Amino acid sequence: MLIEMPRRTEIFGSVKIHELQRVLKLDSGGFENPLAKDICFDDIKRILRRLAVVIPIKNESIHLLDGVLRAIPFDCTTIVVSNSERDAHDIYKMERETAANIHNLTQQEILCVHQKDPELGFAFYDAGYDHLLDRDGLVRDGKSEGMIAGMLLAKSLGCDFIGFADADNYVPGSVREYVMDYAAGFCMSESPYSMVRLHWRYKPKVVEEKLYFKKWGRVSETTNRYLNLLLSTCTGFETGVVITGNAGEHALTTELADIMSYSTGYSVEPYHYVYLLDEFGLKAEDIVYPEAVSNGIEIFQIETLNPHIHEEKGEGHIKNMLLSSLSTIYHSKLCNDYVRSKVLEELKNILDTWETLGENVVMPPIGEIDVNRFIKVLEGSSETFLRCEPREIGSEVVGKPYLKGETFQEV
Amino acid sequence: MLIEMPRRTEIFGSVKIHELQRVLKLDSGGFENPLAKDICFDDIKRILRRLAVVIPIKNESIHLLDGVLRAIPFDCTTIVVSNSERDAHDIYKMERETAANIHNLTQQEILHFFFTPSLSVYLYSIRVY
Repeated sequence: MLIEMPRRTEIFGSVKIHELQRVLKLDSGGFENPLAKDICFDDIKRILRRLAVVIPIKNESIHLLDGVLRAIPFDCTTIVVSNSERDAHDIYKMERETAANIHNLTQQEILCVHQKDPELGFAFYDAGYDHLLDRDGLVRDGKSEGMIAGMLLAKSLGCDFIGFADADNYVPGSVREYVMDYAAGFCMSESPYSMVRLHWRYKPKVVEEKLYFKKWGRVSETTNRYLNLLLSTCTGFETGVVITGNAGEHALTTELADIMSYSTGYSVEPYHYVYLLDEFGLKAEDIVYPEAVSNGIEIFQIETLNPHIHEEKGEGHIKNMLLSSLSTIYHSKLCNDYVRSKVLEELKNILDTWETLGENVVMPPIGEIDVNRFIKVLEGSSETFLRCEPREIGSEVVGKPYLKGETFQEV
Repeated sequence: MLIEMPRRTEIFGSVKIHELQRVLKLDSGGFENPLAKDICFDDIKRILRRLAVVIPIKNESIHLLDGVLRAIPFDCTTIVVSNSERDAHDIYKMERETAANIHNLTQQEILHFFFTPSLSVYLYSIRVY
């Protein structure tokens, strides 16, 4: 892959935020270029073998999931965490069958679990992490909670890198590029605590019966503006370095995943920035993770070559996303009165005059969880947990993958 | 790449027409499968080195051409044959600059042609028209 070198890097305490880097070419010929970094396929493959891709899903079209699963590079482990319906139509069953079908054809390692599985809730409880459980002991609804479950499964397999991909992507080829971009980011990283966040080149919309290649989403533009304002007011120098505030497509090293706190709902992605700036920035009060501070935390922002076409979730989704994104900034330890007043001014059409900006629920780091205990509970008694392991090359075709619980479709 | 085996092949004289084969996965792990053909990356790369991709173009958006040129695998030779306007706005010039820019960055082999009278004369002289 040929990728632009970052032209500028903002350093804020122990956090390095690299400016946007564009993907210049999906593969390359190994030529030296002062403007670009050439990352060979073998280096990318070495990262892919240590990467798990988590797909949180809720009632998406099975066709879309099928395309996404087929596009994820073979060397990665795929983890599907579903919160789909199981009542009238058992959508989760169909998702599981799709995953098992693809595993049978490709022998790629795939794990599936349902977010509302009581045994998943019990596994969290048993491992001493009940911050994402509801009163019934089930994992709460929410993408963030599903992402944490996926990260723990990735950790239980010993993966060093964890990436996320949305299941509502209409273009399978773009999903493949996202995963390659994650790997390219980790190839460039010099710290074991690093994160790669993707910025879509375009997000096409139909305007007057024609495709319009939109560059910025409404919410992401606003979130980025206020994250940059937060940074600028702290350093005294204006910056526009952050352009991936709401990046759903992101990946991080397991070391970094272990020390991060996670916000719920739509604020999970912007909260990555807020948490890192609060805890590892210039004004951090206590140093809880000295190793991360000495190694530094690197954030790469990469512009994809492919445009992003996904399902539209409607206006309500946009309003909630904006509210929860700006709430994380409003409640940041770094936020001063000026930034708070600007955030409230931005939200004056959404918030009622008497309404205050509520704080998002934050879940503490997952580094202390005993993953062996967690996976033992799941493997032992979960009805929805499915783990399809690859067979060894040259071995006989096995009739069924390793399967627990329900039936699956044989190919 | 993992690709379905053709389930049926029609033979008509010396012509074999294979039934539709779906791409099952864009890459693969080298496992044997009776239903699918596993083609490893090195085999694909060997073909790419001998493959030229021809892009005929006429007044398309430069953004689109730029994306297409960046997406063609490095090992292939890219040939752009343009019939774009050269009067009011010299669109061909912009296309050429885009191709040259990508070549400078990537060192990929790119050829860019325009439908000039000399090309017609050349095609006429070798009886290809």
